[in-house]
Amino acid sequence: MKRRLILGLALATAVAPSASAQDKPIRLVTVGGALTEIVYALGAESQLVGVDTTSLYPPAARSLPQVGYMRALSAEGVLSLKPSLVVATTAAGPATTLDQLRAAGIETIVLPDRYDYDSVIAKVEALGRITGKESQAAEMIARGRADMDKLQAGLAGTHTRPRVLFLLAMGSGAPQAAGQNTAADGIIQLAGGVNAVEGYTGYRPLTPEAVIASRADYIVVTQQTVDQLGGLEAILDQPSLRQTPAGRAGKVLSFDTMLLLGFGPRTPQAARQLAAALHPELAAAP
Amino acid sequence: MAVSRRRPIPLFALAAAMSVVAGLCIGAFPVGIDQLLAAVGLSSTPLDGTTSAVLYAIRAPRVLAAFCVGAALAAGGAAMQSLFRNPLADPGLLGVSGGAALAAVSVIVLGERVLHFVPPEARPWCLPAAAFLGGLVTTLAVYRIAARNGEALVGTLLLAGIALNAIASAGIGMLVFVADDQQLRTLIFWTMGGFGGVTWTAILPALLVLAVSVPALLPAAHLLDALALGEREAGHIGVDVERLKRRLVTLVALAVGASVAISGVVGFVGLVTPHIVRLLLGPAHRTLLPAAALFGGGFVVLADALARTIVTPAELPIGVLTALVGGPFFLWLLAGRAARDGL
Amino acid sequence: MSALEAAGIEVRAGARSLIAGVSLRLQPGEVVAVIGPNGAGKSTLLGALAGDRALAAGQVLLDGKPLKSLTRLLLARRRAVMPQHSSLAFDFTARDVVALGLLAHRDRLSKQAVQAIVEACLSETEALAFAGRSYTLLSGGERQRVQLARVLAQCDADPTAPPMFLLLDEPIAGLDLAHQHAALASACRRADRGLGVLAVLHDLNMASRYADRIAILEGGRLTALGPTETTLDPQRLSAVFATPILRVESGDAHAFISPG
Repeated sequence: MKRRLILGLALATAVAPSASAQDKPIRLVTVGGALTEIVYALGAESQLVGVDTTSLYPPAARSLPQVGYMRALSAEGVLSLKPSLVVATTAAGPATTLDQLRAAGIETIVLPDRYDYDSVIAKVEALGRITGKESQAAEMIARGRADMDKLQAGLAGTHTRPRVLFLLAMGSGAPQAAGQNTAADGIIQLAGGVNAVEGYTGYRPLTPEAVIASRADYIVVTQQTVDQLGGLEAILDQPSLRQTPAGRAGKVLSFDTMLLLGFGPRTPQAARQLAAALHPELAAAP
Repeated sequence: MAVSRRRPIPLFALAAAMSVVAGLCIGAFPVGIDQLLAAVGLSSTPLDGTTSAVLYAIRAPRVLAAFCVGAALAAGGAAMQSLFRNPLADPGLLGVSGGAALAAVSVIVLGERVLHFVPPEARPWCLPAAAFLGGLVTTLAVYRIAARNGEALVGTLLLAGIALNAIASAGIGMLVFVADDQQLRTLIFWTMGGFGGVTWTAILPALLVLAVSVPALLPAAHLLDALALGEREAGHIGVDVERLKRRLVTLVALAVGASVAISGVVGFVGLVTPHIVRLLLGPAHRTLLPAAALFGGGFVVLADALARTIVTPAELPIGVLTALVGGPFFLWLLAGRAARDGL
Repeated sequence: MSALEAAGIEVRAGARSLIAGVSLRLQPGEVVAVIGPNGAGKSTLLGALAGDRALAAGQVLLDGKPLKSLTRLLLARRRAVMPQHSSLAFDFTARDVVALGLLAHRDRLSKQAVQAIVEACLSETEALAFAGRSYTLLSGGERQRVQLARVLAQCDADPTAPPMFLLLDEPIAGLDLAHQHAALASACRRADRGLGVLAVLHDLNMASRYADRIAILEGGRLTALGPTETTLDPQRLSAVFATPILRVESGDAHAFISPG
């Protein structure tokens, strides 16, 4: 609670100067799928003039002008849309582009991207303030909180903390597994699971021995990976995966990428879906 | 010859100026010539804040950096080709680009731990400074390896440069392996070259080095001509060859090191530009060096303009473009030489 | 008295001695021809006199001062060297190549003065016809004449300076007879003007015709040094070259022939 307060205050100070910008029509560029989703959820999409390539939800966002890949932004690309405000997460880069935007006089706000629910609330609050939709933001936060509290209550009654292995880039060579400080790690924890790999941050390739040593109870991949490999069964084609408890029981789960990893407004929904898969006993509850 | 042999330099300067204007106007954010003139006070067209900001904060440093890097690489390439008496020589031969790349990649991949000790204001300069120092140290090593009794044989310089470049590549390979996603992306863009992140503060130190080192090559023009006769004959007609070599190696290391610090590794400019200029103006360094600098500068400015408009809003690494132009040209050059030498 | 002198010099390549105990004093106004079998060390001696070689023993002195004490630039104003083989890495014209000979005098000479000397030397070696062509496209003989012109230009750059020394390493090897005579005649003219000329020659007849003194090198040692007339003795020559050599008279002229 206290952490939330401090975070909220910090963001309020960061966002405060833009309060005056509300007098002029805002031309907003969001960099990061979660931020775009939030803007749409707040009903403020009319203020959007551009988004990045990770902004895939809702589908309407895909028809907005593009500013490029979140981690490889070009200042001119952004500036050509003549934005008045750019909002991004810490994952956006390169840092020099953000500096150039500021040097060109465009207010550039960077929101912290820690993969927990508090940061989602912080993003919603900030965007609510920026777009002038504070009441809608407060409502969204309240609903989300309620959903998460209900989920946590349900999880409190479960006895297991299944080991979950999240895999990416499975097609070529060793699959990349998500370690600490990743969106996958965050959502696994929210769903009442435990990351099957530990000891590193970010994504690392896993050797077959490490895969087996993870003793994963569940393997989670994105729908994109499934499509790439041609079906859930293809995932288990990897001999090392077949040796894990998940592999032996055929417990491979797939989710839409933005839904699972976006840490946007649909986070409670994602957490609930994953939790239901990890804890079948929850599905029975109303 | 279409190009006048009498007063070629003003013509080249004009072409370079035109490229600079084009570079300032072209881009995802279009700037008209009238707005450009307004920005320098030559027109009364009103200039809105964003256009002005784009020009001053983003385009101007970028175009200037591109020009200076192109000029440095081209002049350095001409000097290296004369030093090695080989038109296939490249300014990076002495290990500068390899060493600079290794240093920069090390900072990208391993730097986080060390960066804590660096005050935040200085952090943006860590990468360029590392690249610059890496390039210099490597060239120094190459020269030391090749120097015996105060004499550095160019054959040995070449081999030592190749060896050190190879070692640097191996180092980079290992770092690539332990890099995470974010670092990998930064690293790749750096090794392929680009002017995307250029801001005034970032490039000022490097521009100073270039402003000093590149013009310093010009007075050596007649000495470079003499080298064409071979080192022994050049000595006979009065050239202190070892001193000239040291001077050239130092200046090129500084110039290429500073260039790499600004924009990463940009290939082919140093190899191709002197050739084109030699074809147009002949090999005399009095015209070759300044003309190559002007041509190289203009070429990189235009290539950069293309790099940021072809796949807008994204940007192509400039090394890709220069290689696309330079590679086929290089092949054509080799074919021409083979035909002439009867191979 | 001005001189370019080798005083008891020895040049080594690793453990092997290329020339040893060689003393030779080249004076202004004379032409010295160095002859000897292949591998005798003639080019090595010329290189040492030019200042290119590190000496294992002895010194090379220019006007009494060791060569080592002179800068490259100063040396270039006192001696010119025509190499046995020459190459050019880039497409300079023949005229450009000749102009390079005046590099050491850049600061002194005006553009017109340089041009005048260059044209005069090109004319002397009959290379004017292809002076504007790319050097790399010239034939071997044409290139040699261009190199000679370059070296002559270097000699002619400063007539008021102390005497220069001209070192020629097989200057006529690729030339036809007429040009061979012309080249050596040019060398003699320089000697008449006060230069000291040393030429490594294979052709005994040319040596006999144009040289004032002969130096014979065998196995790295100077086995004879003296006036042409007496030093070019057929018996001695036959021994040196390990093949019978005869001297044939025809009126005023004479020639050395080697019947084999």
